[in-house]
Amino acid sequence: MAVCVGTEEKHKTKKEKMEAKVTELSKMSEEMVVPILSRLSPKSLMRFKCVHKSWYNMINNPSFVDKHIMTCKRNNHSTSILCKRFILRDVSTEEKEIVYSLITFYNDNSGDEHITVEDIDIPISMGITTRGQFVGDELQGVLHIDRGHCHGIICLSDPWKIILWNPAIKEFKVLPQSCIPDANFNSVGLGYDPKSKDYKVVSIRQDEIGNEDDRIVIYPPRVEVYTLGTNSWREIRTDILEREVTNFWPEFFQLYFKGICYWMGREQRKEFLTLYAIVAGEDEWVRYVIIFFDTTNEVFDHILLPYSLYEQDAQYSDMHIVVWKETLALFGLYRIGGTDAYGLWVMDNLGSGKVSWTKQVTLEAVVGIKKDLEFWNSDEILMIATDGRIASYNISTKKINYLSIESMYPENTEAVDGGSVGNYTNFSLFSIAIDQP
Amino acid sequence: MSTSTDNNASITQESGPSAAVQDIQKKIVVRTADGEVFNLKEEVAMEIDIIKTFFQEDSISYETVMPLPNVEGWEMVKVIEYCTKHVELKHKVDGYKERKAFQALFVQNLSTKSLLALTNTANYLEVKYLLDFLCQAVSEQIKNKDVDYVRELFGVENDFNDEEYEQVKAEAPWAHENLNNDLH
Repeated sequence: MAVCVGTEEKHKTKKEKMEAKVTELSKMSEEMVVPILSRLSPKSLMRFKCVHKSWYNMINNPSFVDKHIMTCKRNNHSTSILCKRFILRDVSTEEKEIVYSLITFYNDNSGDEHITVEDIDIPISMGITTRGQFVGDELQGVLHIDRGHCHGIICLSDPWKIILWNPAIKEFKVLPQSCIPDANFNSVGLGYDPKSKDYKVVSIRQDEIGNEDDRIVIYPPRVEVYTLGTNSWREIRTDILEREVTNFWPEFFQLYFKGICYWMGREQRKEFLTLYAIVAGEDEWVRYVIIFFDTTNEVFDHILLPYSLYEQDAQYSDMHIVVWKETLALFGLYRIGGTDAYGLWVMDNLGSGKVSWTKQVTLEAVVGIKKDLEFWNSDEILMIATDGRIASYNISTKKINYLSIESMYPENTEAVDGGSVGNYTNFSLFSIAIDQP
Repeated sequence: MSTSTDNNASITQESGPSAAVQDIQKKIVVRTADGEVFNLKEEVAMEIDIIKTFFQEDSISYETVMPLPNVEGWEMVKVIEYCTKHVELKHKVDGYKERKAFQALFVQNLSTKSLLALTNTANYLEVKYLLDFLCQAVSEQIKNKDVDYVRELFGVENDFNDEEYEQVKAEAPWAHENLNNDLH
């Protein structure tokens, strides 16, 4: 850094100096554009694409999209919940309707809380619906929301169709048909391969039962993987899910986290003498495990639950994996011996092969709560109360804050669709490229 | 805005043992583009990486006046104001509310264009936390603005023709609507 200012400077005219300064300012401004833009919402960014061609190219650039996601994660001021609700379609006929809504909580630090509700509207041309008539216990052609999200992109599916949806920029994409004949999509999970920088969808078919040497055999599930980059499915080998006497079956997709997709699943016996034996349960050979899929290497592996949950007298329901304080944790209602309680176990040593669990939180089951939904802050859980209202329970203050949003049939909300609500952050700029029908 | 040449440097008012210690605190002198000279307390000056590097890398004596040809006087005043507060809050346990109040006042009388100029300066001077804060402040101010406003602010000319512009706009027409009603 030079010390002397230079006598040449003095000879320039004032006008020249000012012009030089202005040019310098606009040059420096270009450098400043990225850090400023990466703090904006997807809506503002989609609009500012119109400012200049260089801005258009920059905002579309995948490395800017990445940077934007990173910045938004750090400065996150809102949480969105995707929710399946039941509303009254017609007051006179009392006809009910299922509606998928995106509920966004804006929580800036001043304590102000704004909530917006946006019902999902998929273009009719896509051929599927997110508003369906609810008749008795049946759903009429309404999609299931696959739990969890990936960088702000949500997966919606039923056994015959999968749709990727980016609410931030309102884009939908229908995936092509399965590559396995007579297939149906099942236990669908969306993830992102950080190495190939591509989004992948994993679909796990129902397991098949066959007859071999007079014994009933359950085969490991067939799995297919979809890659957004190639817009195609391919089946992958699953012998890794098969062991000497057992199979692993990934049953319920949980979430995507740092390159890996997680399912709650079972390890079960693969051979039975009779069909009855399977039906009857033979529980000693079924234990629940976490099965995960590495999106880069495309292999499965499993993790055991906390040992206390495998004990004889342990009972639990709806244990699910959540992200808590930037790390993975298991959360759910359980009972060991005495009363019901919610437990939160944090996963340690993930990636080292020797996962262990640390119990972080124990909550007495909260009176008036029907079902827990998601953690949406490190100490707040979104829940459905017995009267159908959605509430937020704060672990530290033990206070319940009822939100003015509801679902008419809380029991049905859980019965119809176990994982119908997902905690999600509405920030992704990522374009999944709308399919022109 | 003060244009005194002795910003944040006078310490003679305080009484007590600390005054004696502060009396011998070193000063660093800089000169901005418009010829103004500023005396900075060493601990504040060291918050500004470009100054820190200048003096420390080659062990340059503090007698030297460091030129800052890319910085205007008013910008230096603001930078010193922010860094001084930052240093002060470093020693406080719970300065969150105070910081928030200070930040709100800090940007209060600055136009968005000035904020942008200050952002450039913070980048040039290499004061990361000030840069982050200013980027955030600018983004807050432009998030609900329309395309014309943003072009004017950044001094950018429209290089789309009418047809191209409509095409790009059509990619996300919803993004151009409801600009004032949104929280986002």
